[in-house]
Amino acid sequence: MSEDIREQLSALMDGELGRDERAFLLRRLEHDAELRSMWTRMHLVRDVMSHRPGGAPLDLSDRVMRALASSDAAPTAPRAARVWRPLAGLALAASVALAAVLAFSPRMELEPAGDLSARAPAPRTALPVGVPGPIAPSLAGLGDGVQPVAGERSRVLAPLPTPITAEQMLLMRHGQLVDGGWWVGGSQPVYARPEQRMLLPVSVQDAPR
Amino acid sequence: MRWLAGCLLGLAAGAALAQSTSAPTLPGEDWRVWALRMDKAQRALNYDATLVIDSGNDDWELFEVSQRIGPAGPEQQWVAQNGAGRRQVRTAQGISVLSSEGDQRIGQGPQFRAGPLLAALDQSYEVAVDARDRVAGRRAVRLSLQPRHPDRYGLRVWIDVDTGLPLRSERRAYDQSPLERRMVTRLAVLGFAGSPVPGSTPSSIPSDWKLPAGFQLVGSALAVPGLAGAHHWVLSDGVAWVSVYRLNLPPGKVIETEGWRHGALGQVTLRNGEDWYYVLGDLPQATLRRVGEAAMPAD
Repeated sequence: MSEDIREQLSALMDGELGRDERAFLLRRLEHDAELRSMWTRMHLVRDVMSHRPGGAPLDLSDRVMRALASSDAAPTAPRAARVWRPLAGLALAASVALAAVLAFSPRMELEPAGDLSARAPAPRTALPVGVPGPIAPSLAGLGDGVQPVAGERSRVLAPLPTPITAEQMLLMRHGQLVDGGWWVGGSQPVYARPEQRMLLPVSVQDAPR
Repeated sequence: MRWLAGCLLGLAAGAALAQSTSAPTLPGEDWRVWALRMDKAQRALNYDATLVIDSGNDDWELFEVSQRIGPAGPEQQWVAQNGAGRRQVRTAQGISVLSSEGDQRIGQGPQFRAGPLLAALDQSYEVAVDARDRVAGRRAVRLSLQPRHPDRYGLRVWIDVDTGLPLRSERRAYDQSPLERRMVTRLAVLGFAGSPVPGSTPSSIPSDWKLPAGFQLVGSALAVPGLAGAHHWVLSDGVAWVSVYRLNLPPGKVIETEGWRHGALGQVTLRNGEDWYYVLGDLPQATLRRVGEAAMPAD
């Protein structure tokens, strides 16, 4: 069991996971007995530490299902500090390198998608397992220039918390084309590491005047 | 002993030559069966895996990949194990990229099943199940696809005998030079979902585009979130996947690069008047250029 998954479980207990992370981790708990066992132990430890009587129930399936059902309402809290604190040094170095690149390579930032998300109904984060149908609304009916397309399952237009470059958006969309595939070219997170953006020196720049 | 060394060298050369030419299909192995099993496993198998990606030039990456089948299809988490602390989670709602530089979230783009396209792979590739092997301690069969023309890359993929999941892949140029290798070094199978989620089936979109043989236009998106006026076309021959983005850049903006390649993934930039074309795919750049030019309106 990796340290990363421990951090995620800890963040889940503290309500500090983002929406997608929470949905994915709860899905993992459904399928992973070892993970559920760890989840149980973490609750026991927390209960002991806080002198709560009773401890955690041994069978947590009900709790998981309740969490799934209520995950829409769970808060999205900042969690970067918890997960990445041990890596602050590396992150700082990466940030400095990235800042150097950006300083010499101004990029066109994406327009915030807030205007579209404002018109979209709030997406559901999770449905009970086995319920068919789209989780998020399709783009049908959102109007102006946005249409559902062949092969497009669902999309959510949430405001971007930090700017993302046009290049990153195009690479990420391409990398997700094949459902569940990892073996085709491009199907890996383009954010895997900071240098990736330097290896792909593409940017949308101001034209020479 | 010099004669013995010569004989051994000759044998080794002969073996290498035999391997480089078309390998015979193992008796009783139908490549279509394995291709469809692979498609099913990708869409229906719950698993945790450690994945190594070697993009050449001593450039490799290690990931922990977890897949769970949700109500709307596969959901994946990729955790980079290089200390940079980056994680990507893909659910039906979209993609979250989590890092110390801040979290980002974008909507899900077009997604397709590869399965329906796999049945016609032999139009563009010589396909064979040509070896049995072991990967990550598991039994695997090797599916080899050698392109019939140098306008695309070859692929060898090792498929888990028990589940159908790809365990290893190699992309090679037409001249057999290696471009990219991916390999699972640890696999924990957590079982199949009750029934495979019927993913979006790519269907050929009628067009008068003059595409390289074997390619189909399988998707078209009239919007890319955040990029006003952008259009996204998706083309595939079952192995190679190409995105053609037409971008209408704001006045005074240009795309500075003419193209790049990283592992098997290449990119070219084309321009037609005010429209820019950003073409991405696992193909040689000359082929990407042809595909991009096919998307341009005829004069």
